[in-house]
Amino acid sequence: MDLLRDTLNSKDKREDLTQKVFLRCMAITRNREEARDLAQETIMKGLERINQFDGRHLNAWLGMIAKNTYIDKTRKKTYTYTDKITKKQEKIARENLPGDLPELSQESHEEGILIGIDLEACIEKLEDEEREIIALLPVSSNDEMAEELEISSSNLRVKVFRVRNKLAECLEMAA
Amino acid sequence: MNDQDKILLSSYLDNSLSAEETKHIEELIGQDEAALNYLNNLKEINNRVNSYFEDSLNSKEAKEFGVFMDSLAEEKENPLIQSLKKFIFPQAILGYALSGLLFFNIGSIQYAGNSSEDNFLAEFSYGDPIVNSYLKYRGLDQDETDKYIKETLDQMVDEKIALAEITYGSQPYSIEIKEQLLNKNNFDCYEGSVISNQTAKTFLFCKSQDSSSLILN
Repeated sequence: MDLLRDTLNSKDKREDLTQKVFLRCMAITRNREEARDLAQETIMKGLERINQFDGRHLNAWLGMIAKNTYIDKTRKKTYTYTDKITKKQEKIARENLPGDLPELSQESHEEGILIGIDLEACIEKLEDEEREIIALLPVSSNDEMAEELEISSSNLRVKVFRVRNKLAECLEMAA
Repeated sequence: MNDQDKILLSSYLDNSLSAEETKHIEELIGQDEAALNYLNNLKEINNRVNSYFEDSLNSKEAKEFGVFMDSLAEEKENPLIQSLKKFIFPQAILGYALSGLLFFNIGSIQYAGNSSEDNFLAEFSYGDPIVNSYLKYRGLDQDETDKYIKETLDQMVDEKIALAEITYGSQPYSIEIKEQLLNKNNFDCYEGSVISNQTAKTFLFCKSQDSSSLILN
């Protein structure tokens, strides 16, 4: 059964998938342009490899493709900068590639800008899975997300709670 | 308020509690000010995070991805076009004999076929699209989208180019002429699609030497 093809041919399902894939790619890349490119590549790879899909969780399967594609790309980028690189250096490079915060001038330290930058910086500090959870929460039901992550609903509750607490701590709010 | 209550307060925001749990939490926030403050703080964080990701869904990049996804759908044909085709190509209804008689009687209409296997756009180029950009003025009530789509279609037919990308204000539109439905002397009708904002519309565009007409559905 070609679930991906069926999903693409149904307007409602396609729109739902569009949002979820884009948000997941946003969570991975933290950059809109990179998210768009990664999302498109993910769908194209999904269509090419549809025979490898076990038919269970389409979003989770596409999420895996997106992650692997991003890791491959990041690795390539890293090797562009240096011929010989240790795993530790690669990890540091990966952490610093997208979403690096620019140094702000004194004038741009306006409250509105800072709030947005703070939140981005705090989201940046989350683990990959935590970022995905928080990105997909507005467009997924808890049951759906628990099923995709292959965890129980109560476990998901704890994870969501922890992510919110981390963000609260990061934003120095007394939650 | 213990840790379990804090977890339930977080889930309360997501409407994922059972009736019993909801009752417990609503009682708790009614009695315990610390619990209410905790919930309000969580709400604030949640709103900020949601708006951060929702903003990205309204971005140009998300819309471009939406257009890409729409382009992958195997579009179902618009009922208007189907009816028109049945009228122009009555084989499906009346059979080949009757359609032969019809075409014998009405003369030498060269119709462009109703089979997607026929390539009646052979003269058209699928290479670089026509790219047009139209300014949208603030305060102008009238939406001139159709006018600019029609203008671009005129250009596409004149230049025999099947694809176009236009921008009206900040809104991008992808236009594709997919099939020629009718071709008689200097009168041509084409079917195709306009994709914008994650939605695809079907058009019927007819053009003579002096004028043209667009039905967008």
